[in-house]
Amino acid sequence: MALLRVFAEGGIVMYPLVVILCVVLGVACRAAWLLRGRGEGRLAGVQSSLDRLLFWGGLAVVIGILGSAVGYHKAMAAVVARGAVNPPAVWIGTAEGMVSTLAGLIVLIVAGVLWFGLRTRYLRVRRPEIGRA
Amino acid sequence: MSRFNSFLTRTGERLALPKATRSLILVEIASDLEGLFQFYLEQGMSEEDAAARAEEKVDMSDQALAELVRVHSEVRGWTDRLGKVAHPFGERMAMSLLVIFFVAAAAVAVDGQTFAHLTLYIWPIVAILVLVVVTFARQMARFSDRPNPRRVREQLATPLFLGAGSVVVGFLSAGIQLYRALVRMAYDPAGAGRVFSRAVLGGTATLVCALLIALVAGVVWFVLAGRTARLEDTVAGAYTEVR
Repeated sequence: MALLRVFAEGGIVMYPLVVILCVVLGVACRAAWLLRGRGEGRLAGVQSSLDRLLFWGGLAVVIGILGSAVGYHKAMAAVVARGAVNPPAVWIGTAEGMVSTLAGLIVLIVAGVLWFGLRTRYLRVRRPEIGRA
Repeated sequence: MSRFNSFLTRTGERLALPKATRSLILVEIASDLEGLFQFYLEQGMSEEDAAARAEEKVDMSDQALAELVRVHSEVRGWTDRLGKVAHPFGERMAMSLLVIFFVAAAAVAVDGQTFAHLTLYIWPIVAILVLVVVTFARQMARFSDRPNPRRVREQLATPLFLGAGSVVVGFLSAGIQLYRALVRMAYDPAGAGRVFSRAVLGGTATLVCALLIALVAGVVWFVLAGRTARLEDTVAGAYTEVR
């Protein structure tokens, strides 16, 4: 429940971040599946998947920061329009504005951890194949 | 397709590389062959002699070819590797969903007030947007008229570079706004709230535009990279097809 509440605080950009997280997991699964198989183009496929993990992770951070910037902008516009500042509301608003940035960073961390693990495995698989070539 | 088909087929058979990398190398060799062929024609040679001379110049020893395979097997540029393989269907769908989401969100949320708080720093960001659009248009024009894969790939990283530049300019502008506001607040504590809120409004408005343009640049790169990879596959396939 607390997690859902935090998710809702992040605003609408949380939905693209969920899509990106799914893509990251899909790309990682594909890379893991390719690493288990055999075939000519599989190592190129794994390498491409590893790079794409970082691309999607980076995109998640940009979208997360975008969500925060939009949130801060809307909050400050409301403050200016009302002409009065309610400090607790500002602190809460600031905390909520950070949620999407943090979510984007979490997606990047997931992508980074998967990238590291898969790359370690990829290098282990690749070394003997290059030796054979 | 090309007067060098049989030569390229033979060379392709000697390249023990995955299809995407082999396509890339064959396209580069074909481009070199065409360049040399044109050069020898201009020197006054007949077409047959020019083609034979070009093949002779480009023909690689086993050692040179092994070196080429090694170079292409090792780590190349991140963007180069990333754009080497056409994006899978699932990722293209996800990117389409994101584009639809942001277009819909912009249509709902953006109004005159959104742009009212923009600062002067928006102009470099607008310039970057223009460059992204020009790059996209030029690349698409290259695809439509007898595309040269090598020239298309040379410009592939430009949208990513421009997107990164937009993010940097956005954060820089927000930082400068905040710095100036804090200095003014120190000298005028009574009006600190007003100064701070205006600085945050201006900084975030510019940052939002910068990040949106970075996303546009990312989507442009995604589209161009996929098309370039498919073009290289097609061209390399045509070079090596059996006549």
